[in-house]
Amino acid sequence: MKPAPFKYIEVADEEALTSALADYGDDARLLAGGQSLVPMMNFRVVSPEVVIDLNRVGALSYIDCRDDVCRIGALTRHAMIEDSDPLSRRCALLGQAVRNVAHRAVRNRGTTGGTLALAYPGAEIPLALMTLDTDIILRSKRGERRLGMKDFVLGALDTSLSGDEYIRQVEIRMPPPGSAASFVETSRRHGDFAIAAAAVVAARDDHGRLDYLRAGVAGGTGAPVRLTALEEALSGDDPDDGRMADSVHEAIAAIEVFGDHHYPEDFRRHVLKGVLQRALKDAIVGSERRHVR
Amino acid sequence: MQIDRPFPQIEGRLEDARLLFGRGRYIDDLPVGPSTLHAAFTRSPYGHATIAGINKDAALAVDGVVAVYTAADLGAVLDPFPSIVRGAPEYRGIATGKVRYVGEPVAVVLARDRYAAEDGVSALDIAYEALPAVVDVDAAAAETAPLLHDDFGTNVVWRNRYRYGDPETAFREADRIVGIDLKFPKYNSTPLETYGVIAEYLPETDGYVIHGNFQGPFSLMPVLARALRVPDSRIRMVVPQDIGGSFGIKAMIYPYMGLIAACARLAERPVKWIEDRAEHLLGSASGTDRNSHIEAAVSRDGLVRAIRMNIRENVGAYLRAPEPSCVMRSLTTFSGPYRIESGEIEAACVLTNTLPTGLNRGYGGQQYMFSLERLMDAIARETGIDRIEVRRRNFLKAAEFPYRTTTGSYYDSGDYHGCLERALDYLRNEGWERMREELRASGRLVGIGVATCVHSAASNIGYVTLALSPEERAKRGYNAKSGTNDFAHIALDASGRLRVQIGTAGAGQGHATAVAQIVAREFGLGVRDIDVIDRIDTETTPWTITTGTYASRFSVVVGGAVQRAAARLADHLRIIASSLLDAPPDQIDIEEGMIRVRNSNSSLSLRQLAGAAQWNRGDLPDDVVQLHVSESYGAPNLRSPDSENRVNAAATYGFMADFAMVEIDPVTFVPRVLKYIAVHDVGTAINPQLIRGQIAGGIVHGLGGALYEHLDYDESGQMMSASFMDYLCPTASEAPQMSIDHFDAKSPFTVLGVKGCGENSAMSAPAAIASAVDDALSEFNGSIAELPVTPPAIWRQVAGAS
Ligand SMILES: Cc1cc2nc3c(=O)[nH]c(=O)nc-3n(C[C@H](O)[C@H](O)[C@H](O)COP(=O)(O)OP(=O)(O)OC[C@H]3O[C@@H](n4cnc5c(N)ncnc54)[C@H](O)[C@@H]3O)c2cc1C
Repeated sequence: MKPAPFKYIEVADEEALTSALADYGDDARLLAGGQSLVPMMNFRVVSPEVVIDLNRVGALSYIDCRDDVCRIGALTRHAMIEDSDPLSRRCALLGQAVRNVAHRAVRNRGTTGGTLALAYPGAEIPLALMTLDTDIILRSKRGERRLGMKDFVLGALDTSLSGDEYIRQVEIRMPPPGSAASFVETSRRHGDFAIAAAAVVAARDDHGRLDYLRAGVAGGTGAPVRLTALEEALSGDDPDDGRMADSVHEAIAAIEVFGDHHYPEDFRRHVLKGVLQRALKDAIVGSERRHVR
Repeated sequence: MQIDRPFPQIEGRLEDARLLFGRGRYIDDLPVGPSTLHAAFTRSPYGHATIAGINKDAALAVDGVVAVYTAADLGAVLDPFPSIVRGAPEYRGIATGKVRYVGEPVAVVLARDRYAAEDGVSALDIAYEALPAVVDVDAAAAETAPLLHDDFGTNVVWRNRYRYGDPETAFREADRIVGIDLKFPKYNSTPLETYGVIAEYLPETDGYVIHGNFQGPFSLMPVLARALRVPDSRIRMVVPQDIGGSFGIKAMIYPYMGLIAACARLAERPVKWIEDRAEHLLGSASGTDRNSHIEAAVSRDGLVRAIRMNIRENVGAYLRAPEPSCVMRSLTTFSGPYRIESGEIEAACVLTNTLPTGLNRGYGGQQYMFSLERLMDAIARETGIDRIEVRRRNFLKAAEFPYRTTTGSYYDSGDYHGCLERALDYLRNEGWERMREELRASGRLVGIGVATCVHSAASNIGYVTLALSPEERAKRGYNAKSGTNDFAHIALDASGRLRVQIGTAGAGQGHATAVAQIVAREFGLGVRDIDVIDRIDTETTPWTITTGTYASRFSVVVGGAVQRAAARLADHLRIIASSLLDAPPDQIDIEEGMIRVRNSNSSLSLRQLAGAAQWNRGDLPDDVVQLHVSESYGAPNLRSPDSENRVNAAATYGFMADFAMVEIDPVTFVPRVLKYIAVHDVGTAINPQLIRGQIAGGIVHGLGGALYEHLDYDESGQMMSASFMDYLCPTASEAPQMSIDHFDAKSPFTVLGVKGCGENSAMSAPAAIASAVDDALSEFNGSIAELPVTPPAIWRQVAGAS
């Protein structure tokens, strides 16, 4: 478990980062928290010729919540999200998701950009971002691009990043005040990637009707999936148990789910339904309570 | 003279300061010279394949690579490792002609450093031709299965049948026969520290110096010496002061010691190899997985009269020493804590395209306890008698000890009913049943499970020879085996300080602390007044074939030797004092560092006595100046097996009463152990804190096997749990709330009355947890027959029921 030889470049600002990427492009890998890249290199699953360390680019590490938008720099550690007051007030889903990522030691290193670029199926932060209305800002010498999460994550370990690009920032349009969030995941041990996870945010209008509903699932789905049909079907009057169960069933039947050696497809579908139903109930009941208050 | 005082206790352990401040000295901390080469193994990516060709050129061209050796090269100085079973397929520790499991060493690259060595591994060009693989033990035993060792003609590498008492009559007369089929999984110990070897060849003596984190048993040293073609004493084995966890797995480092030593000889330079995490999962050793059928002849009132068992053990790609010993606990203590007077056991070891097996904390205990305790639960279910009541009815009674089982095991002492009752007190006081009802009422799946098991300790090396038939053992020229022995050395220096030397190859158990307590008690001193050296260098440390830390033997055997040495030294000191104080030795007491004449004011300090004995020898009578004492101790009642395959397999037999409370999520089916009770008869408790630590660790180790850890392979022989992403070790978050207590039914046979405690719930927890899962799934008529209990497995069971 020693990496193959590589050239190490440390960059101190975005300009140097951009040119290093322009120079080395496809032969390079960015080193952020290193919580995935380093083990992959040690296993020689990847053997980049160049490693560009961006840990010194302080300008990429921030959480900036203003008006209805929250901007998170790519180098922001998971632990910073966990500890952020504005985020926990306005975007509780992300905080809940982050608490399901590994253990604190890993969260002290792992970064927002890293987990997005990796696009590991069953990763919690990408699911939360997919569920909320999120844009990803990418940058290269050629310029800047803005992609919706759906266009950014293409599948398991697959994104639209080009070789010379880096993730600069995540932009979340915050759910309305008074919304309730629920992140439910199942894993065999505390801190593992999710076997199945569901994220739901719900909020009500002045009349108490559900007018904001966001729902997504991950785990066995390749990329995390936003369930827009379910969101539409369940908005408005509060669904009864039957309507909710039917929608959940339809939603999970409609998506592609992969089985593997440990968790066959039919089991995954079963637990996806289970966690989704729980998250929906939690969030819908929670939004009721918040509304009454 | 018999001292009767409690063992002095201390906060923490003598070892703590060293270990907790990072001053432990592990294998990778040992300094090596600049000429030392670093090794990396090329390992098979295939479960089963022919090696069509190896081209070393590209690897040798890598900067820093010095040599590349394959089996063909190493064979010049390394023979196959001898097996317990005569005629078993050759085991060389490195692939010859074929690879037989993923992770099998195929070549060793030696280089300037480990990085370059791994670059050499990446560059090495090996052509394979894939062959069909077989990983399931029953599939491998079938006649049509692909053969692992073509010349051997079958994958069934060993089989034997054992019969005790009169099982035929018992089954004929049974009111009911209860039988179940079970699968026990392949898992490991994952010590924090992996294997490490530093070896050097000394041409001037034709000998080797091997540093390695080898835990024993030292009966494997002759195996190694035979492979390296040198007399036993030409291997100077040095075990570093600290080992970062051993658990049996560190016994199985021996093939790597052979390979690295052979590399050092061929390269004419010292060679160092530190196993990495991935290698440890793929290529170290594992516990043995087993498919089995077990059935009981049961009377109307739930008494078990006889047991029949059919065991198919999956030993992986090679049968290597000390296999097939993993089977033997299933014979020698097949009746567990119950009065079962007849039994018939048929056992086979089968080769498959998986990692070869070896010791894993409990060696065979967890497998047979799972069978026997699952059977007791099945009997309870089928007879309608309560699970605990069935056990109580079948238990041996306190008055029956010492008790000779039908297999020859000689149970020294016990009060199984009393110990179980103590565990039930915890269960009642903690309100387990009320909690279960409340949680169930709120829609959760919760269950309580039980396991009651015998914990044999300080194994008789003779049990290993049950692998041979009585006829083979009766042949001329056969050397019988029996016993378990060890040494202790104690010395008083001129300043009056006591120093004890032992060689246990401990791995953080706190041996030095316990030894200091034994000696401190004898001399009425404080624990910190005693210095303990616990290190092995076979050139200077006395050792025996049975030396090592395994089979929960430390307190029984090493503790026994230490106690004897201390008592003998104390006797010497009394004789010396008698001449200095002019009083008969039996009137002299030693306590708190003072030597006193009873009922008088006459005394001197230990320091004065030591000073006089060291500096003023001339004035003392000639025969009383022994300030160094070595004692060996052999555990009692251990003979070689008789012609009926009866043998007392261990020096002492403890008892364990375990309860587990499990919750299963009703939607995702993720199981969790919420609470655990372990009340164990460990005999005399030298240090309750050390015992607690052992049992807590054992519970989590057993929890790993029950719910999480699984070295599993797909059909092609790929390991599906080759990193910690998929090989799930329980962490602190998964550990249950534990209530741990010990119960003292002193052994009448061991020196201190101790019974050993190192394997404990690592053996019983899989059974207790399976029992709890059954109870949690009672509305679905669930019955766990296979571990680990995973969410998909529970889901299938529940879906099948509804
Ligand atoms: C023991 C352990 C448990 C874990 N458990 C979980 C878990 O339960 N859930 C979970 O979601 N994750 C888990 N992780 C992963 C971890 O939380 C990180 O999310 C992950 O490692 C990626 O973040 P990083 O900053 O470490 O990225 P790195 O490892 O540094 O990089 C990962 C990849 O992203 C690329 N990259 C990094 N930053 C950028 C950027 N700004 N632009 C473009 N590409 C970039 C790198 O080049 C590399 O290819 C676990 C990790 C460990 C070690």
